[in-house]
Amino acid sequence: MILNQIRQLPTWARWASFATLGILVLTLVQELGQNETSHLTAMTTSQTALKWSIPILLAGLGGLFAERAGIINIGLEGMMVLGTWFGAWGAFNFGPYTGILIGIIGGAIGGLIHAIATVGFGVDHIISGVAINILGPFAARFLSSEIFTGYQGGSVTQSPRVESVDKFTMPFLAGGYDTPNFLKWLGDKDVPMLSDAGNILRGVLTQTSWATIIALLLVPFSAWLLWRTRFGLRVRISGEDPWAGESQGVNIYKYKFIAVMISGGLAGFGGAFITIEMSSIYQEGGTTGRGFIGLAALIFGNWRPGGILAAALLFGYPYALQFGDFDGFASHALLLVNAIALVAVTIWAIRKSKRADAVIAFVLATLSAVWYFVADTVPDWWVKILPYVIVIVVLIFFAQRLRMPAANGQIYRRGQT
Amino acid sequence: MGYQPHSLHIQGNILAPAIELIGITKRFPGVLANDNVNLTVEEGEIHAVCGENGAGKSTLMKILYGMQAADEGTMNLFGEEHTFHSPNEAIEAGIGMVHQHFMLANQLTVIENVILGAEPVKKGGLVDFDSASDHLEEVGKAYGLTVDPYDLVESLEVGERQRVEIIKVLFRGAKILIFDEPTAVLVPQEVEELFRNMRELKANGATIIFIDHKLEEVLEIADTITVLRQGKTVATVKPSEVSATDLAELMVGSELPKPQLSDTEASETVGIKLENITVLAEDERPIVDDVSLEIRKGEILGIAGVEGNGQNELVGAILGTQKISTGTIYLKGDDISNTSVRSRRENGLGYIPQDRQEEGLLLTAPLWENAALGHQTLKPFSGGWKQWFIDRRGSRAQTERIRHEFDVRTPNVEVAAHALSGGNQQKLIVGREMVSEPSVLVASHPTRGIDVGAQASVWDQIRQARSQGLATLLISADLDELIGLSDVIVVMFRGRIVAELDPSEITPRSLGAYMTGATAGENSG
Repeated sequence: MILNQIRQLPTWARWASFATLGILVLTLVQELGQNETSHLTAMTTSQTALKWSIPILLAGLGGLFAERAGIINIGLEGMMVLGTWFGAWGAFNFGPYTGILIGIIGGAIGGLIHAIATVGFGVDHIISGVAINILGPFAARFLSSEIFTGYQGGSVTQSPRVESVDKFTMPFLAGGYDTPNFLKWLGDKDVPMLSDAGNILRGVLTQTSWATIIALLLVPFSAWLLWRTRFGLRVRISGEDPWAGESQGVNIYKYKFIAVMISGGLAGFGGAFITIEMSSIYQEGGTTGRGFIGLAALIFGNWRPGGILAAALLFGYPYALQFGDFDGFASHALLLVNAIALVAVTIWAIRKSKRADAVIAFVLATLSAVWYFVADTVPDWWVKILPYVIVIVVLIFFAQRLRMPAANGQIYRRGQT
Repeated sequence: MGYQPHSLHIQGNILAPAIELIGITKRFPGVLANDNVNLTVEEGEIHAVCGENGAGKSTLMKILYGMQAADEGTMNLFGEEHTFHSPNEAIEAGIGMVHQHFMLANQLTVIENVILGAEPVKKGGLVDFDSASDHLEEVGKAYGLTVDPYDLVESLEVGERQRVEIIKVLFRGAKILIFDEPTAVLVPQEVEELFRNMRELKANGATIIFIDHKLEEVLEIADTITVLRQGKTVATVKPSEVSATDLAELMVGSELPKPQLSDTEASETVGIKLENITVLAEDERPIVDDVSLEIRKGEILGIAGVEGNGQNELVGAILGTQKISTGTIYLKGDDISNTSVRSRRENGLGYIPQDRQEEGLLLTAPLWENAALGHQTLKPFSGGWKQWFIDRRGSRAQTERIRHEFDVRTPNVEVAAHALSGGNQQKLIVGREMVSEPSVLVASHPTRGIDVGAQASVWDQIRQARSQGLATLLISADLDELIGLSDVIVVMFRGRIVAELDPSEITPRSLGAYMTGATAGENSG
């Protein structure tokens, strides 16, 4: 089958093929669907989807560093909340770039607390993480009441407006710097597939925030850092077999500490991104659980940077679809996309002779398709729960193929082999 | 620095011994692990340290390797005094440890495991994998150890993993190598290979400390032997001057028990029968491949095999924790292939798991709760309507009975299981299975990691139950135990039974040949 041939390609080509397959499915749905759903591949949709993916991506990368070092970081959400607050405070006082940096520091403080508890004192990782998730919002509320209430336009639940960082538009492809706009031309041609791909690409390349670009660059950078450098090897041994590392003289505590702080910093970046790039304001509860979705992206992405990016984009897409989807047709069409994906899973399960999986996938596919054909719109909660549904479905079918670091979540104490 | 082997600066007396430990004492809460231990190891010799479990060998080596600090005593290396606060300092001083439980991360590659802690780096902290693998190859060639640097450790066999452990130590330029019970995980053929490697190392000028309690091996390889007993050095001898029996008596302080069977006839009634059992792995490969067995009442059937050849899966199939894809299991004549684990246990299937701490006990629960495990649905552990409730009084009384009959040394039955020593934990497990009077017993490594005294008591219990008509399936890596206790031995290799042997006609060596698949089985079934 095609999938097997794709598996043998180099990594970049493999991802490109999956993206092409995805666009193909979206085009098909547009062509075959009952309603006008060009919104599925509109430029604004991909633009928004990318933006919405970034906090999830950053939280996921944060989880990656912690869990590669063997520390489960369920406190990502709390650290992200700290990032939103500190990001707002920094951006208001010193401008957006410094704001992001201060947001990172804010998240790293959360990471430091988690590291002190789990690495220093050997506290159960989940307990410490939950504590941080409780602590984060309360700290933000306290700081707001102390500081933001003194600002014009600030209150205990929100900050004054803050500025965003600069935007970048790709020249020639997306018409940045007054160059020709090739992708717009392609999109207007209305060729099936090609125009859709053009629109999607144009959305990604138009008015992209530098913060987004930096976040995306962190994906290859994380891979390089963890798999090519001495620091990365030592972080990974801390998560795979800290006792082996210890026996070769690696200071495991140090690497766990640093990794968890990086983790908090990345979550903080995600929080600051929400404040500075998305809402232009700190708002209490503004993270809306994206730290947890980041954790789900980490698992979905099999503890690898590329996988996390893919998961983040997948989770960000349904969010983006809601914007400007006034008639609800596009969200509704997602049901058909779902059904097609589940049919693919069914075929895969049959080929692997996993009968139970095949049956479950087929039933879900049928339900999805039936829902699509009987209803004309979907309730708005459907799109909101979609990321979680995707996670559960993925875990049902692919849990056995996922592989977390071997000593993840274990409490490590020096000298106790 | 970096990955270059450290040259050892011998500043002290050239003739000073490589290692000199004087008056080492180490206390743990309630235990005196090392009591004024003295040990002298000359440069370029293989020095064996033996003793029973708990004699203090491991503690002594951890002190030498900087993993623990001694309370008292001094340590001299080549005449120079050292105190280590971490393994790093010991490594710097040229000491390397080949751990019994491999210190290897399975999901990392060989090279990643080897260079860890001494990674050669290029600019920017980038690991220089090329020069590292060149150096690894060099070290490997020099000592006759070969392994592919880019293999994942999890894909390696046990012997290969051990080679990686040794290379790891040499890579860091160690001149003094500590081998902590290196043969515990190997079959006889692999042991020979290891000994060849050790001699090669010695010829290249390395000093080796070798910890073991298998006496024949010690006598074969060592130049000098030091015996520890209850934390004290009892004697230092030359192998030419002593016999295995002498050594054993030095270790135990009295005569040594042996696994041996009295000749009793097994009855004709079949306790358990397996017909063409096949168990498939996740990837559809058979892990247990068409195995048929029959154990009569009063018979002990031993299964020999290198670990990972399907023994665990076979045990799982009998117990009901592993799904069988084809075949039938009969317990006392009834087909139990599709019944639950609980119903099998209730119908007289006893089980001694291979890992008492993982599978056998709830370490933080009191002994009486542990004694009820696996029998919680039966009297006297439960009572009331449909046996739905735990009978605390009955459970405690039964646990007291186990404690006395099976000599479990504990102040009372309320203490948590982790407070017991390994041997007593094992006696509790054996006791709880035996008092329920099973008709079939599956015993997986019943004496692994326990001392000679507890071992003898477990052997006694199994023998006694045999004479009372228990059908026993015995799996063990201790070949002497297997040969001594079994009425019949079958060998498992790659999931198949490749040979059926008479224990009275076989030696550990010839058994080892079957286990590695070197000898084709004539009586395969």
